[in-house]
Amino acid sequence: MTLLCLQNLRAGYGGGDIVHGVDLAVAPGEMVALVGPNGAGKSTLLKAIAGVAKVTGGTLTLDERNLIPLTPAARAQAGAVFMPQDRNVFRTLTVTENLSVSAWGCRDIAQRRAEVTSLLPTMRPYMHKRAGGLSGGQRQMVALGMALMARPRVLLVDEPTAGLSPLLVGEMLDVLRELAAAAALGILIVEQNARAALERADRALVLVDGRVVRSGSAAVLAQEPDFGALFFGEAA
Amino acid sequence: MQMFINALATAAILAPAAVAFTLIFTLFRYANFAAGGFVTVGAFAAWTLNAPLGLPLWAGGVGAMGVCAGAVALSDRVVFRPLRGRSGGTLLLVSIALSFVIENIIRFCFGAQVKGFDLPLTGPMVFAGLRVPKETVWVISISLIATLAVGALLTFTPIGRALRAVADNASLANVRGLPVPGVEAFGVIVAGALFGLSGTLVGVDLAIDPNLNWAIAIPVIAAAIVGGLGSPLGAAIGAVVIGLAEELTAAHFSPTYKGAVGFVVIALVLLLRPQGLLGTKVERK
Repeated sequence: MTLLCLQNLRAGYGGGDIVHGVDLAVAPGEMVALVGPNGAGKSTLLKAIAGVAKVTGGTLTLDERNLIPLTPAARAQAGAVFMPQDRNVFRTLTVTENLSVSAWGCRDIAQRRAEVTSLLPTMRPYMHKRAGGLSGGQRQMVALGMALMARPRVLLVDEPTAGLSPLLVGEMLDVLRELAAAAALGILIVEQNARAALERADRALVLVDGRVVRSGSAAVLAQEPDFGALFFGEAA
Repeated sequence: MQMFINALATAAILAPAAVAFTLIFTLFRYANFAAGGFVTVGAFAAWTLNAPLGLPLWAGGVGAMGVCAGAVALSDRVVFRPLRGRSGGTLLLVSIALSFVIENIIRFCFGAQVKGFDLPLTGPMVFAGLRVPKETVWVISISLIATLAVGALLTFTPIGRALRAVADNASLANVRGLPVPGVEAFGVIVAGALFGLSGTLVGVDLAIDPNLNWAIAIPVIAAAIVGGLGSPLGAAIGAVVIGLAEELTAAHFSPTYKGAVGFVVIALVLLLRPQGLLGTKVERK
């Protein structure tokens, strides 16, 4: 069963395409990693699905519903929820307020907040603090909580470990892995720590210059001897 | 003590408009210098409903809030929205031009004569030997209630939280599913209603003067800057500071210098504490 489906998707910011014809599918409970060198179009692809970047061709559906005509807000309400890399919390609002405002228009905000805090219990001690005063790791956790308040079908996560310590990188990716399994959530993740992401993802796609150059099982891709050298400039 | 009551009365007039000014600033990141023009619109709208049309003053005040909300929403739609994305300086200059347009429309429609509300004559109220006009008590009470109501709206209601979220980061609000244009429109309407309330209170405590524009705009902007741009509570506190400064100036120097107080306070705040009393420091990018 496919949740999110992209066929020959092209996207950019108005000055020419950055993503050139990507085919991709994400199933419920599946974590798919998008990896590749800087400037490959990974974040642009996520933003195109979320409605922040412009789709210039191809198809994009969630549960067979066409997302392309929808605004970013409507796509979030439809279940395609984007977690940006930075500036991803409302700094002047408390954590509780950040969560509440992320379930706009819902009548069961308190219940959703309880669900999210039970999924991410590390947030509990700082629920009444302003998000702007939190550490990088705490902020990323709040950003994830905010995304979950919308009860997403598919979560589009852009570099959730940027700026985090190595210990927190693993923790964050483990939380995402567990969420995918526990909530039958599809996760499409762009991650700079490619090896850490591949260790947790079910499948992976390697994007170079806006095109998928390799895809398959994350575990198999991670074992390829030329993987690091070809795509990340790592020493062989 | 009398001076303190006078200061509170001045603060009561300034506070709603200062809160409105800071609300627009936080939402759209520009200083709307047409604030004085909108307060004048509110004063004349309330006067029109009260004196020529014979409605009670409370109805005139409510009507003025509606008229001002419409005027601010119209100016946002016609003047400011097409310029979204331009620098704060550009929008500030546009707002100054708009204030002159509003001032001249008011003069064209109502002439150059000072007006007054049609209010029954009442005796003063006496508190601990102090004689306070009933109108002043009403002005202070209504302003306080309105300011607290806006504070409660922003803190405790979903639309208030959404307003603060959009003011904080509109692009994030968009991907979080908030109806950003609708929330912004709501903020504009609330700001307009507050300008209308200030206009009505000016007319009750002072006079309805077609030349009110800059006489009220400078202290309103000073109050918002003193409090810290972006903080509605700070704007209300700033209004009290400006009210006190104006009354102290009148008492110790001359009432003639009251008009300069706003400029002096703005200069002092920018020199000593640019972020204002309750504002937060931001780094220039």
